[in-house]
Amino acid sequence: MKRLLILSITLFATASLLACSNKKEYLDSIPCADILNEVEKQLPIELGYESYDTDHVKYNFERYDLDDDHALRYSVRSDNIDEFGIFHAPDEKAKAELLAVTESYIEEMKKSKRTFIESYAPNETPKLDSAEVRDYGNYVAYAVLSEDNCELFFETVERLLEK
Amino acid sequence: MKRKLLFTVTAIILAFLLNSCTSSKTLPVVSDNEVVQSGAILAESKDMGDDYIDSFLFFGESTTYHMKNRGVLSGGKDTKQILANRSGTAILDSSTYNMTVISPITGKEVLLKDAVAAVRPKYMLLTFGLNGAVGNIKKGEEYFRSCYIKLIDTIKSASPDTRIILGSCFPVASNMNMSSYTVTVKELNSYIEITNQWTLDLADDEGLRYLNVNEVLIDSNGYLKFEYQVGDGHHLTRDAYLKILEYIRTHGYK
Repeated sequence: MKRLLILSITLFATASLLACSNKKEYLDSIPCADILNEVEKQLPIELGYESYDTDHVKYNFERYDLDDDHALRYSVRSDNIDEFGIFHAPDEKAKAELLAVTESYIEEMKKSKRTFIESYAPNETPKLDSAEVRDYGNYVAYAVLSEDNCELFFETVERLLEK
Repeated sequence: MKRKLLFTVTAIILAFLLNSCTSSKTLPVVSDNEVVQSGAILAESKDMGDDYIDSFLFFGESTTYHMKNRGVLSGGKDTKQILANRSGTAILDSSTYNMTVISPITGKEVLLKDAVAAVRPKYMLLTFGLNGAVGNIKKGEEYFRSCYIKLIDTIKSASPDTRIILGSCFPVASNMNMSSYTVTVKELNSYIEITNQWTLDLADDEGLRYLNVNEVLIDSNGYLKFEYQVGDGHHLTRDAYLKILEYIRTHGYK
């Protein structure tokens, strides 16, 4: 019985240590624009991307005071709904709120823009379904892209931010 | 003393009421020989003729684009007076000012500002308000105005001499398919009415003109006249567009 108990504790401790060592760490000072500039190189499109201005963040995100840096880009082609963005939060608490706000932005887009996109660019609708939000340290990134390009987007972001 | 006070108060109230009545943005009908310039709303005028219509470039949602499909402008279905992207529609949002369109001159996809700079129309009629109507109301007037102002400023920079007219967004009919909406037809029309008021206020503030085309489209219940829609409740018939063009000609901007 004693041996079983010691074995269980040892196994549990080993598992915990492994989990801690697998936790990724991310850089915290790369400008968001630099990250998206690199993303654009990985995801070139005809006529390129344009940056959303501060009005877009102000009126489309429930909170716009949580980040200390952000960059949001969209495809200039008006029949292409590609867009992606990244925010940097000053601390963990703000990051958590930012994550919720960005997820809310994506959910709202899925609801409010679906009818319009289905009517004028039905081939683009799957991008709404594959739209996703992820966080890396104090960064929150989102992408409204095809499934494959979404993966490439997040891989690029993680590669740039991983320590 | 009491009588004098009563008389004075009555006079003040009457003066206030009279002043309120005359300071409305709605203008009276004027004579056939006159085009009223005052205020934002383009009032009734003499018929400006087909050359006047030919001097317009139109930009808006699918209900603007369908003037092309109905062949009601010069050039018929090949008219070069409609600015649109390949899908034939647009939504007024924070990126509209920077969207791509098909150039009426070259037929290639270019930025809106480049298309306007190439055409340099004498008049440009902008009509927005149905696409994203619910979202616009949710985000509020300030958002709607900021999107429109960015678009207007882009056009002004590209073609400073172009006279910009903001048009009322058309209402929808009682048979509008609302399955994709979270509101009723009545509510949607009330939202359109609200954004039309915002548009009028914006035209007033920016020194532009406003064309209240809805005067000829709306029925007594505030819906699009049933006979003017093609079956889906919001896209218009050829006759409806001819009525709109007649309204534009007879509410001229000189």
